[in-house]
Amino acid sequence: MNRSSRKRILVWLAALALVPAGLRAQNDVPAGIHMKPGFNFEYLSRTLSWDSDAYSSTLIMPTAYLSLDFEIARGFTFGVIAGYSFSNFDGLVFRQLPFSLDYEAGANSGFVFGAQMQKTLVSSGFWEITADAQFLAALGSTQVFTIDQLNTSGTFDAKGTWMHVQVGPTVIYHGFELFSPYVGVAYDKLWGTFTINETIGTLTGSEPKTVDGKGAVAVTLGTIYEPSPNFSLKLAGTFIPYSKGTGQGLGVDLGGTVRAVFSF
Amino acid sequence: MNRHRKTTVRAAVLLAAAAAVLLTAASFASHPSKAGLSQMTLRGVAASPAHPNNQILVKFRKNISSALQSSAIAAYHSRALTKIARLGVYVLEIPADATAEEMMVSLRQNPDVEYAEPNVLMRALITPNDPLFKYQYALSNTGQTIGSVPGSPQGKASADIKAPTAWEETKGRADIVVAVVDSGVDMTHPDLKNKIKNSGKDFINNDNDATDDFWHGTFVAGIVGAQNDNGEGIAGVAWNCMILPVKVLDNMGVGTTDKVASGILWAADNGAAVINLSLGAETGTETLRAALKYAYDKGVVIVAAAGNGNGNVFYPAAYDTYVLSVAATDYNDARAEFSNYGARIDVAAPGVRILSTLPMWFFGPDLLPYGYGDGTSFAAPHVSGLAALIKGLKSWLTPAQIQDIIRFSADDVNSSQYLGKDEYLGYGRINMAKALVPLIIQKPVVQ
Repeated sequence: MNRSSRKRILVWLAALALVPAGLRAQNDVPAGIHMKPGFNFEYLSRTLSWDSDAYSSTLIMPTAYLSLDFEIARGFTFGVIAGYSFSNFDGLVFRQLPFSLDYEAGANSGFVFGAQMQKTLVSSGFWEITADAQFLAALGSTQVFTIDQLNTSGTFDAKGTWMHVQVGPTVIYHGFELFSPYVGVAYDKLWGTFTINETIGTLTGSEPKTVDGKGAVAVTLGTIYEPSPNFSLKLAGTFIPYSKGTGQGLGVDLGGTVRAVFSF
Repeated sequence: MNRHRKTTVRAAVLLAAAAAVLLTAASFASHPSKAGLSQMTLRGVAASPAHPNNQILVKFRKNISSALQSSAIAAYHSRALTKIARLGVYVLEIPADATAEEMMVSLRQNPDVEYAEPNVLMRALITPNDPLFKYQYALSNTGQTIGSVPGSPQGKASADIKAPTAWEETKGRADIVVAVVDSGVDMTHPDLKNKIKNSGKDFINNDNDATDDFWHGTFVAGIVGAQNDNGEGIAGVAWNCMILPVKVLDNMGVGTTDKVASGILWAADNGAAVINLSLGAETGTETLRAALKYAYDKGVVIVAAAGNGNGNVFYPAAYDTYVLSVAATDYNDARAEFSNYGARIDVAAPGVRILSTLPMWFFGPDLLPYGYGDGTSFAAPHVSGLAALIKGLKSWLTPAQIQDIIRFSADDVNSSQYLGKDEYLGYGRINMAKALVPLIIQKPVVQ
């Protein structure tokens, strides 16, 4: 992780940590803080660009995580996230190493950590507008590969990390008894690094690759199924349009979320 | 200047005797078939048409029934060889008394025809259209007969350096220059004239015209960088790279250490990324070593022939740190019997029955200026060409790294006798594809 990535993470974490403290004073504090543990599964496929937009590939990130949200003020929750992601960086190419490599090894799994918040901005009749934010950091893991195509033994090790931020408003309709459909529009940013180290006999090389997700706006359509006050199930689909390049039209990246939340 | 009879100036330190051994063994003496490439035969190959004259592609308009289409084809005295059903396109064989052009003009006037066009011949883009490429088993060995005369030998499929596969990854860059430090180069040769960076340097006659008055340098230059895809002659290994001629051997193929050292220094100072040294002697000198070190320290990859005496590796090939030492294999991936050997052999490359360019004056006007030759002299330029392609793709690599890429990517073709690096073929016969085409990482062994 480079210095600018670390700085960005710290800024986001600081923002997420500071907001509840400020808001707590402005809201009616409930009798007690409600805990909302949740089981979450997210699938996100993002088109990446790298090497100064010279190349692109797709990062597929099925991620399972536990979340623990705290409703620390009426209409305001803040939570932490921990889980595991199976991040597939297939399609990255490495041309700076002594022996060039194409990465097609599938998932580079690893732990994810993060934080999320939701704040009700407006609530009127059946309608509610919230501000939502989520930050996820996937730590990846080091994979080691042997190479047997050459006459000299060699290994490569590879590790990929990524960070994902979504911030934006969500409009929720509460007019149905059990279902609350919603639509959200968010600023969406994905970035990361994938590094390969090569050692073949006396030859060594290292090539870190900075990747950025194409597109910056995510549109989410979903529904919250709430059969009881203590349980809700959220299903959502996310669309992230991006430009394929000058004169090449638009592409769309897709994501999906299943989230089961318990309230105590 | 008379390019055939240049005055030879010999310095005090003579390499002449030893150099002559190397070059004599590399000559055509063992291959009387040098005149086998008759001009007439080769021109017949080069004159292949752009499309078969008896075939055209025709598509009828959508509203025309199949029966009507068949009737129309018959009316034009043509025969449907096949139909690409999904596109609705017929491949028609036209009558013998009509040309494709005439038939297309006629069909285009028929309102039922959407279009009529030639059945254009296509070739795998990466295979150069040079007509003699088919004899260059060293670049692509399909088990073909190597030569056009009866009795020509037949190679073993895949006993080659995998050039076409490697060219899919890179054809090199025109700013990457291979210095051929040798007897000069015939810069008027049609397969070389567009690949010459400049007229080079002549250390024999002390001028700036490194024209070849022997033949050896022209032959080496053709292997490194004959012009590809020009519909003429052979293909060079380093497709887009340029040749810098440096003349250090006289019209007998003999030179002295001071000339060779001066040529190496001059090449290093004049933009060479790779220096090919298809020359040598049994004895090394500090002067030669110092010149090699100078070039190596400037980032130049130096490749040298091991020698043809079936004995110890010659110098400069024996200067291990600075030079890639190249042994010779044949069209069956077997070691050439003349190839020198020893611990300092790094790799091998084809050096038996190698087809390359000869000076225009060599055979005279009646035969093509190409011939076959044997020798580690002709193995080395294959390696130099590969080094140039690597340098073009990854200019930041050091000579030591490029040497290692070439070593580690070689095929251990004599592993049944000598597993791993050995003193006969070193790491093995070079494999351009392994050196240049990206490896694919698929499955981790440890996580």
